[in-house]
Amino acid sequence: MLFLLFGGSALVTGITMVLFPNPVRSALFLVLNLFCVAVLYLLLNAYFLATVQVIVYAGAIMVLFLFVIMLLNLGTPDRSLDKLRWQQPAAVGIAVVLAALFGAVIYQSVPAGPPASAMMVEAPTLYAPRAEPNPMLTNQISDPNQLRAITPDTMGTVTGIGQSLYNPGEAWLFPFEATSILLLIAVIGSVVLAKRRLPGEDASAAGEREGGTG
Amino acid sequence: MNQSVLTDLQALICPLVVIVLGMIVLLLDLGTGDGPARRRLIYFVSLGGLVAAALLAVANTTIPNAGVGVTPLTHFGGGMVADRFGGLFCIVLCIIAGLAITMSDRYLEEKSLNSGEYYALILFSTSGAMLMALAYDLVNIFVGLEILSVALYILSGFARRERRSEESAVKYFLLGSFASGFLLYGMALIYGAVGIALKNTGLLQPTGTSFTNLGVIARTIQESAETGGAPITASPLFIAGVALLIVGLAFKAAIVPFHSYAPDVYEGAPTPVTAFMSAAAKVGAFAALIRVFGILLPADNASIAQAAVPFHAVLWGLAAATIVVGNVLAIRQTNIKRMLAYSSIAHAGYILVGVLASSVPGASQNAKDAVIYYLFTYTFMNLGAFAMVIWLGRDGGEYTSIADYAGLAKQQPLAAAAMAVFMLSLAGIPPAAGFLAKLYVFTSAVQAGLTGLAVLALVVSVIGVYYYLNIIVAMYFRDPVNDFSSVRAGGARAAALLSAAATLLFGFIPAGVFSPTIQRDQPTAQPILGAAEKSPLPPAVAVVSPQP
Amino acid sequence: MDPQALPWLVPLCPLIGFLINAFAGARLTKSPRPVVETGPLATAVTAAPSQNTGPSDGSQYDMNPAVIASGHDAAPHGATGGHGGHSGHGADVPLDKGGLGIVGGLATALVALGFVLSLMLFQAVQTAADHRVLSSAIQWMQVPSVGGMPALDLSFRLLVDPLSSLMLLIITGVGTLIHLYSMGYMSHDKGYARYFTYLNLFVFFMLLLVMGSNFLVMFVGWEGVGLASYLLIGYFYERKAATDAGKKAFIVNRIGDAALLIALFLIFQFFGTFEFFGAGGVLTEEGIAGALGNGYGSYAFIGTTAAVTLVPLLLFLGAAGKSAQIPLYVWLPDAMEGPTPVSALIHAATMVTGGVYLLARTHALFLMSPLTLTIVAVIGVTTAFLAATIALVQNDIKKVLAYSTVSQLGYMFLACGVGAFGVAMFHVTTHAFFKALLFLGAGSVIHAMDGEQDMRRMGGLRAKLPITFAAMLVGTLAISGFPLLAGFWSKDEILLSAFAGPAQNGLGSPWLWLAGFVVSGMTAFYMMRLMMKTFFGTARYDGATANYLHESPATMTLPLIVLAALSVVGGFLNAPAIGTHYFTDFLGETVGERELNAGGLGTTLLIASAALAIAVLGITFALYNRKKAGELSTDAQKQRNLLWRVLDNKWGVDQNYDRIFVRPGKRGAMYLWRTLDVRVFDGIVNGTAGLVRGLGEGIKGWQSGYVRSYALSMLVGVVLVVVASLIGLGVSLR
Repeated sequence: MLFLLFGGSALVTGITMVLFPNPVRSALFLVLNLFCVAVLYLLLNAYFLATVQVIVYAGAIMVLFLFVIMLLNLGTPDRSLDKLRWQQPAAVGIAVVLAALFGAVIYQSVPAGPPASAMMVEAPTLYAPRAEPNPMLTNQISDPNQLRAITPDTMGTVTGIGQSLYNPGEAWLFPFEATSILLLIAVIGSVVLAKRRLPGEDASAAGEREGGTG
Repeated sequence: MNQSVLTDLQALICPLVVIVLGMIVLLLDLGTGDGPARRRLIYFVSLGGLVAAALLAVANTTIPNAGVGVTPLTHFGGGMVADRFGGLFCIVLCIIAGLAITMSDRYLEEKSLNSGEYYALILFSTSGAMLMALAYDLVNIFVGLEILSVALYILSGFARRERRSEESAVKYFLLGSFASGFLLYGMALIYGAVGIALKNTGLLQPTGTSFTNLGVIARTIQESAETGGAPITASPLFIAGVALLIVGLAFKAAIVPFHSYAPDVYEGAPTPVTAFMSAAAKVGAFAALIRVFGILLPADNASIAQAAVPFHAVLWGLAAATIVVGNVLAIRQTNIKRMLAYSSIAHAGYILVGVLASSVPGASQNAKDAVIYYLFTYTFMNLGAFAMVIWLGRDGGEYTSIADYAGLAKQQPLAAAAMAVFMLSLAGIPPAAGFLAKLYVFTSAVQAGLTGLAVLALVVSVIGVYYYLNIIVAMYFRDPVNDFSSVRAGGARAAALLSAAATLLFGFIPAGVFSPTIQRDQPTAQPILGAAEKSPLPPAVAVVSPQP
Repeated sequence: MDPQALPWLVPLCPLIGFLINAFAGARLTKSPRPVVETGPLATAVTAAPSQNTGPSDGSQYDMNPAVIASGHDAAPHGATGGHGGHSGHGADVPLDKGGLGIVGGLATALVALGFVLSLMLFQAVQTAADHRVLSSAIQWMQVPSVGGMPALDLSFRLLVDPLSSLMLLIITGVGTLIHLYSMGYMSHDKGYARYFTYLNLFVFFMLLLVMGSNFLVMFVGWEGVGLASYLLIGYFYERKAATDAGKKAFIVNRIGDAALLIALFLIFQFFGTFEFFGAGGVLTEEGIAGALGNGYGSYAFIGTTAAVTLVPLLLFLGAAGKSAQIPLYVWLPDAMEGPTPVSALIHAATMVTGGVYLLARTHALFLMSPLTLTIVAVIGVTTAFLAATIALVQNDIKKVLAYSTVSQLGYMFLACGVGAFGVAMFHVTTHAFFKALLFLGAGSVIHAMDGEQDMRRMGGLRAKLPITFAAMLVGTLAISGFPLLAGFWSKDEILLSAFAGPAQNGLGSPWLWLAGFVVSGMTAFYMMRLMMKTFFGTARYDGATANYLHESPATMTLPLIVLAALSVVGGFLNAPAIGTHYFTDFLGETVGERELNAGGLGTTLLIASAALAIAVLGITFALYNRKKAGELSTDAQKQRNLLWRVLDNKWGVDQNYDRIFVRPGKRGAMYLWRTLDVRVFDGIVNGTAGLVRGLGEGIKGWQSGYVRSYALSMLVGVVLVVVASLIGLGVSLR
């Protein structure tokens, strides 16, 4: 019931966010959307993730967004000159088709019964050892004796997330660390693209634009 | 445990070296003094590091390929794999980055662009593509793809005083994010499908591994097929997920109809960046595509190969459309960068033919080798062609119109010869490597029973001959319109000549170049279920030594 | 030394020479400062600005317009400048003397090094098991098996067995001498570096030809040799005759090469490999057995012709192109337009023997088809006869030798045709000695006569050119079959084989012997005639030439002396009559030699040939010695003689080829061009191009530049891909 409510509102806020031409309103809807998603995380027992979602995304990042939008003082874009208006209904139509398609696919595939929480209840059985160890499987686990603290109890908590992100035997250490490179790149990018022009640069830049390409 | 981390790090040494190299370059940019000396230092440190990384990757090429039947040696909780396939891709990527950096030196100077960040971004981007090639988990593929892409977005806008460059960056960023969204959604669908299947079959899920792990997925596919009931590969959720995965990767490889950004971005981005992205993004995307197809839809296992069938028609259509559209539109281009953009789209189509063949039992191994060979030659001929554009430019400008190259042979015979080599190779005319690359790919397609597609590709590639030869005609048979007496030498010339030499070398002795990596250990690469119908080589003639 | 590496070093030597001279030769030979020799040409050349920033290949450096404008008639003209007191001839090109020494010396030294390596290989082959030294293989390319065709697996690999070892020694040995000779002969030609570049290139490809361990490497060498000979024949590219001759040689060779290629295709189809030896090799017994199982013996081509006949026939046609046999011999006489050392190297000692090598190499295939062998023998002896008759009336000293070469090659093919491949190779060897000697001697005469090649304007030169005369005399006696000299033994063995044939197949015939015997007499006649007209009698040259006459420098006479010595003793390598079999023993199995069942017949025939040679030589000597200058028959007198007219017209072969093949070919080509090409093909091509352009115009609409449109098109693509996948799923499930 809660899932339907918040899932539905996440959908609605998402769509309205895209549809509103005013960037400030758009951003506010995004905040709302993030909240709804946070509730969904809660429903999945992912308490830590829900908290972080609210604090970091809704709190920090969106506030930054709003600052930037207001600083730049963007108005509603003028669409009267748009030559490609006909594409809008087409795009909407195709999007609807796509959404329907995926809706059908998911509806057909997801087994009946409570979708998400059921997994948690059944979790202990999932971890029951199999009669014969699969040779393919043993390879996935780097070390059978190694500390495995993620249990249904810790799943979704800070401990659990910490274990899965920082334990070298876990699958998530690498992508987590690799993401730091991504962030580094983003930092470089913002420096490169946004830094002020040096005084010497402008002269050459002007000449270059004239010289142009052949 | 520390031991295992060290082993893991050692296995991924090539991308790690490249990442660290990028950081070193950044630090050098901050630390040392200004001016040409610093530029030169950064330049050579980057190149030296790449050579080292490539040499380190060679070690990987002895490890058998991951695949069904071959127990993959995975790292970092099963998320990464270091095998021959990944090692070869790492080598290609080192070459791509090396050539791109080599040809950048004068270009950056003349455009007064900061070299430290530029080289660092190229290196980071390269490492992203490497991670894609080495990833054994969809999440890692995605992270690699984003590292590759974000760096490329920035790089295409690197000449930020030029509006075209900025425009291309924005376009690339918007559409790239769009495509990434599909990719991620596809992965989510696969995650769901695998999770449901695991729950249905009552299989255990080892802690710490994810539903996106390729090994887990492979096992799920196999067991869900074996335990009866509906196999996961018949699940619409799974199929839709893989379809979206294809979309996301096809965007990176510039496959029609996800190619539309390519000409605009290639034209607007700084030329060395164009050269780099035309190859690196494709290599990364195709590596991931082959990896995903090899494991999600393993051709070597006949019962599961059935799963690849729904995608045959899709990939068939994508490949055919890509080849036709790329070639047909290339004809009309008057701008050489746009022409090369469309030509690279067409080549992505040829490579896709090989990828498609690799999903057919019996042709799989040859097709994979053909694709790798194609990517090697493509790297040299395409980067070489872009290097020519840089080489022949001067004073911050470039001759981007094809007509500008008229009469080049009379003024710069060596440059014209190198350009001719690239064009002949791209067109697939025998002495150059491009011919053999096409030959191998089309042969594997015929082996895979894709005769129709091979014939189509062959016929359409004849169109390609027209626009490639156009440039040769302009260079050799037209009167000069521009003065090429003072051209930008330096790195671009070195890169172009190196590429031309490599293109010819690969063409003259393909197996000689490749024997240590591709040809030798084919029989051992797929030992268990290897259905590859590689005919046995004739036993070597006994070597007789003189006995004094 | 690693035995697997050694074979690679041999072709590497000339290749290095080629590369160095191609890239640096022009710079080395260009004088850094203007040479004091005045004259408009010298200044024009030095003043001409160098337009090329860096010559990248040998053919570029003298594309300088001023150099082309300066022109030069022939090598000897160019070669005259340095010989004091004879000014007015030749272009005084500023050449750096030290650079010349480096370029020529390097080229010569590298070929000499190749000779040393060949000697080492010669040693290695004798001790090697199976008498084969195989190099390491470089994987070349592999194409997996498709549609029933065998998988293609090609590798670069070199093979040295007695047969190729012999060819190696000839190529590098005689090649060294000719290089050395060329240093003197070409020393004042401005294309000096280009000349040596080509020469090294030629040697490189020739070595590949004889060393390849499979048909492909051999074919690379084969074609490369064709290219190098084209470049060398057309070396004096300002002369139309030279370029025409180059083209003619190239085109005529192409005809043979096309046949050879078809033969290679057929071989691949039936044998599934190009390797000569090793498991399943083309020339091994199991390889042939496999091919027979594959339908090689019963393959119907046209009616009843089987591949077993067709393949060697096509191989022979290829060989006929390279070795100047009927019907493809016409290029060789024209090829005399090249510099004379080139004629010696290419057209006497090495290239033309490539065909004989091919036959000897593939004798296993030839021996399977008696019909082909008979054809080879008949064509060989006919060529020998025809060329010898033409040689009787030639007045150009080089043309006589050219036709003589064709005639001698005919002998070799005769030997091959009767199954005596080893004897053919023996004649290849001795012929390399004496024909190179004769050509180099002729070159020495031409050099001395300032480019004069017409024997009618020579005479009485023996006093002026004693060394050349002595050497030429040895060569003449050797080729004529004067007892105990090289040609005597080898030619005699050919004639003997022609008469009796090797024991098993009995292909010999007295008629073949008779024809060969007659040709032998003609050989003695035309060679003696050449000697008489050149060195005896009264001088018929003008005063200026008389002043200029001089014996050639040591670099030129030394090779003459060495070759003369070889021409004397070379025959004893294999003289069964006096009990030496070194040559046969060495070649052994590699040429499938069988015992001759000649018995006492051998001695009889030997004496008969000896008597004939001595008699004809003597008669000719007497005939010409008696005549004084004025008594030589005039052209008008000759014209009245029908036989003379036919021979002087070279049996009308060139004209008839022109009438039957060339002109109808041109007309047909014009017709095809005007109707088929312009109307049909161009129509199709242009139509397709228009269609493609229209298509492009249609699709171009997508490329609007708007991100939104791109995103939309992607979205459509996504829907298509997902729907198609799901539909595909439905299809696959049913």
